[in-house]
Amino acid sequence: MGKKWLSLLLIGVFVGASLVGYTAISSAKTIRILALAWPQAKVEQELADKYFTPKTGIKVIIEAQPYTYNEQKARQEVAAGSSYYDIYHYDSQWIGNYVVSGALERLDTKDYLLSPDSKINFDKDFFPELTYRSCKYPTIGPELDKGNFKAFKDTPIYGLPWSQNCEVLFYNKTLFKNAGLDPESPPETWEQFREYAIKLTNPPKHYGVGFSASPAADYISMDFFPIMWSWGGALWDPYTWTAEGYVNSPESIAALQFFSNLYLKDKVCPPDTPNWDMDPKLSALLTGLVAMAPEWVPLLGAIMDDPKSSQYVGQIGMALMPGKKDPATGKIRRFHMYGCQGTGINARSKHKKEAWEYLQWLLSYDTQKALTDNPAAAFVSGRRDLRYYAAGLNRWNKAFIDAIPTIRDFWNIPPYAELLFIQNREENLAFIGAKTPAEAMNYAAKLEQAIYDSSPYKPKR
Amino acid sequence: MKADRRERGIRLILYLPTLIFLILMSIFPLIFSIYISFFNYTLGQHMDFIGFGNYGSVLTDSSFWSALRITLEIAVLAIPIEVFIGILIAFLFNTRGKGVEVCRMIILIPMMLPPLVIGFFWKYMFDATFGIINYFLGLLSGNPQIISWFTDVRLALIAIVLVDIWEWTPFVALLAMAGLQAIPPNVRETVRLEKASWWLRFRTLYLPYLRFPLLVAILIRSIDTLKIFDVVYILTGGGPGEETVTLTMFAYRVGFNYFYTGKAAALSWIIALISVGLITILIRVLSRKSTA
Repeated sequence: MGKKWLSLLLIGVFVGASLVGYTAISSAKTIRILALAWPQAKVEQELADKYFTPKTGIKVIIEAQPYTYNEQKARQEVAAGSSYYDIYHYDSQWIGNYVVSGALERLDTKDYLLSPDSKINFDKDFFPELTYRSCKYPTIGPELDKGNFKAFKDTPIYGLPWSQNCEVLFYNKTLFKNAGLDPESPPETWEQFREYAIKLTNPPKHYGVGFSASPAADYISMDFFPIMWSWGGALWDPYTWTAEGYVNSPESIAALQFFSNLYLKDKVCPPDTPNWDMDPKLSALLTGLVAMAPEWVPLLGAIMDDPKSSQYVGQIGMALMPGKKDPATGKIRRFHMYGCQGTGINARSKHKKEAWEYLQWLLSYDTQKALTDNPAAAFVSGRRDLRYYAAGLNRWNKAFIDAIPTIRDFWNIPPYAELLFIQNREENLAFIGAKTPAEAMNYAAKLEQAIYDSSPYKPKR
Repeated sequence: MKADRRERGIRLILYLPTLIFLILMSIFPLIFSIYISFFNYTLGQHMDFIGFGNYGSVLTDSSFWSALRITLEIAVLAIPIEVFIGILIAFLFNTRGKGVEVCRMIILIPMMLPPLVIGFFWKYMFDATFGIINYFLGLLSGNPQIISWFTDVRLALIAIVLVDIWEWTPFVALLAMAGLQAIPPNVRETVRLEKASWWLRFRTLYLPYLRFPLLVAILIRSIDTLKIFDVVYILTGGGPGEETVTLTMFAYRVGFNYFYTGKAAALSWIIALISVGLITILIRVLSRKSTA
């Protein structure tokens, strides 16, 4: 045989072997998940390898991306019409874009939730306060705030609850004691919060309050919105997509005045606060630089009693966010920032059946309990039947469950990112005193209205 | 004849992978970016042709003009100082002696570090509460200093300029040193023997040898500063407000936060045109001075 023929034969064998190998790999039942790189993703992978794959023969590959790049990655996949990922974990504010892009499979169909074999009962299994915001689209926030879930009974479902979260008030009991405050009585109202913050401030060692007030991502708004809502302010009218008179209402402006006064006048926040994202606030709480701060429940809850992370083990307390006394009822009006993520099936997936099987397993009582039991997962479940178990398990799960009725979220409509940037920038400028709260909110209203008006998704009247 | 044709064919085959790579990875994306800049296109959604609408939208966006102003401010403040200090360093280390080689290596470290690392450690050094810069300022003034570098509109920009100077002065020094090393020893000796004044020596001996390396340094630094992103992203995230958002940060936000892909493409082309225009002007001005 000549050299030429030998070479051709070798190439043929190589190509053939590669094809056989590729076919074997691609025919194996494998699902890929684009996840957020949070602690629970690692534990989810371990549980899937240990229980789901041996039981079903479906291999699960969870590719975790840092939060900042997750949306970019998913949007690029969607734009490319890719079927590479079978499941997308997504943040609640992304759902509008995902839906209008056709990224997510509708789950309220006979193939999924309405199938007689479905192991999930969407309305019965999960807290509607959480799932109606991140799994159904479109919904209207104020209706959900009122508990009017019936209004969205037939609204399409695109996901199931993946990760549940909200901000509550964390405070340092040792610093409370040192300042002569009762460590078991955290502030109930914002006025009390300010009063306590002044007492707790002893610069440069200790400050009363820490906020993540950076204009990047959603940091400053996360910490400001609960104040704005308790003052009676609002971001917009979601029925008519109107900003004017809402984001710049007297209540919203007064709330921003209170918020910025804490930094500018009372000086109860560390000087770098307007440049803080989540990490500096977290470490400030754990090192005692700040005595109080709103913070995400599982994020801090899971590490606050770990001596490797905290200088105040057993001394960090948790409480509902302070509120404002409603003059009409005398009741305290308080709100908690929503931070939940959903998980849905890629509408272009070639393994929808396997993906659905996985989601049913992931959202089952046993798997959710296993995730809840593992502190490394820093997990809070959206399942209703786990609420008492979880509340008894640790303080932060209890804090989350207590906060559920007063959770609120911001936009999840397609132009949310631009709206959020404007809002953050204006709040930040008011916070540092570069603009008055009225100037900031009036300008935000003007720009946000222009975005609403130019959006093709604005409801026709 | 036949052999020539065969050789040409082989050459073409050898060029082909590079050509295909260039077409796919550079030329096609460039052309495609021009194409999508004429469409109202949000990533993942349908495209609508809008002509020059995206260009109009960029040019009427106050954030764009703010980003352009901030980028030029950084360039105008940082580059002359980098050139000045770079020349001084070059003279300082343009000698032979014990430890000079080691010192030369050490001063080059800042430009070799990843911008991400630079961003993070300067962020900590500038920290208002526990940063070492405020600590030393406190020692110098005799009173503890709490300066919020990143939360004051002017100071945030100054902090960015200072970090840029620290990072890139070694680059200018390196090029200036190369210029000084090119001076023939006999020329240097002649001027030294003539006992000319320092300024005369600088003008007649050193400057002719420094002109070209400094021209290159200024050009490269100008192009780099127009693209400045990572350090600013880490240090201030564009804040306070959007007072430190540079052109590339603005383009990144439009493209990768808002996902307005069509507008981001138009914006990128506007930035490219601005860069080419400014660099052309700079080359003309500097080469005229060089030849004068």
